[in-house]
Amino acid sequence: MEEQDLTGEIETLKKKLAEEQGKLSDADLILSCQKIEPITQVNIKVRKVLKGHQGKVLCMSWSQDKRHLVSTSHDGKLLVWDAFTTNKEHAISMATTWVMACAYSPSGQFVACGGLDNKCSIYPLLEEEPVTKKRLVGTHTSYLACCQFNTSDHQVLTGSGDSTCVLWDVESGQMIQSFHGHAGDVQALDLSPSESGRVFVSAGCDRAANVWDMRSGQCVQLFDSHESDVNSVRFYPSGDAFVTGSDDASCRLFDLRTDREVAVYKKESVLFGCNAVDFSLSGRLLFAGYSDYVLNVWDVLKAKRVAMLYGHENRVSCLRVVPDGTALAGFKDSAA
Amino acid sequence: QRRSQQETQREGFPKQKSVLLSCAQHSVRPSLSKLADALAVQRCMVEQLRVEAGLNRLSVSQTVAELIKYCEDRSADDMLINGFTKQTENPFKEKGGCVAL
Repeated sequence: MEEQDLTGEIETLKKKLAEEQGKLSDADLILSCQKIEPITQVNIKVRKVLKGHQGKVLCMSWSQDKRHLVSTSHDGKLLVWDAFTTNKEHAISMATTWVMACAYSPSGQFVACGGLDNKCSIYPLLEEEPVTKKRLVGTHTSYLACCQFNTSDHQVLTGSGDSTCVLWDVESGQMIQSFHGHAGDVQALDLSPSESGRVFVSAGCDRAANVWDMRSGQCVQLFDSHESDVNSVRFYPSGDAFVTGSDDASCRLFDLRTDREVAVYKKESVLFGCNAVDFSLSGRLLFAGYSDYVLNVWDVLKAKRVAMLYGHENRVSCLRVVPDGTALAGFKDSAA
Repeated sequence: QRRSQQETQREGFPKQKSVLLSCAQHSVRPSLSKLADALAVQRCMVEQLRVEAGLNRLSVSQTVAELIKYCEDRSADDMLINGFTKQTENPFKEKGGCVAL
């Protein structure tokens, strides 16, 4: 009977996968890094406070000019900031609340965003009244959780509460490729820095992180060792690995080429879910924002916490290191 | 005690926890029998596992060595570890001096 054949093959393939992974497990990241000098202190100071949002800030994105950033909040506002001067350059009121996704375009001329309206829209920043020149990029069947421009201003990748990711053409509003495979809401995505336009990773409420081939729409790798929703995902700067932050209070480093989890960043005293993760320029530091108002800084190679950054009065909802690694912006309830 | 998932949900956006199997959703018409649904899901799983089994994997020792090298090669440029050599180079530093009233 076909069902028995299929069940048999599933078991055989799973065993084969487990064996392969076992054979290649010939080292441990933490043990291999024992001789490396530890990071003794981290001199990070709060330099700027960006005040202006009334509601919870849900998402942020740096411009490639390393100076401007866009942030969106649960009350429907989108703000564009000059981080050097803390001036607000644009303020756009959206027709929807809970704007959970936003992204700065590579040229700096557009911002894409969306949320409870299930749509991804794009606003041209060079126009006098960006809100009047808004353009619809694509629509999902549930909320928009995350979005990123794919290498240029012409394509946007979105992740949604409808459990799919979609790559859209901005000009035509057509779907170029869709990505099905998550068994729960997609919460976050990140494009590969080394395989631009070819590979991305997504993570969601099914506790899994999926790695996708953008041309075929195929999920090529799946990592499901988290014990709860995965809220945030970010590629390691080399593109060979990625880190995830989860409601299970841990962050995990997954290596693509060995196809396995290689490190877990957790501590008994760290009990709250992690909502946002990002790496420093060299990949040595992992910044992780949690629901208990703290930003933990982890030494990636030793899996030890090296610092705790405070200065937040509520849970850290999103954070991003600026593209040249000179600073870190973290948003919590209403200010950076 | 770890906070319950429900508590976290109340604070943040209420995430749905649907456990739909995407394979079944997109490849089977609703009118087919339950047996046909199960078969379609299994076929989907077999396809997926075949793709994963065909992946070319490297050993942990090899990739760990490369991760370490990547970090060390760039650690001198990592401002968030080392800080700026001269604070005048820091674009985020508060500008000193006088303010005209």
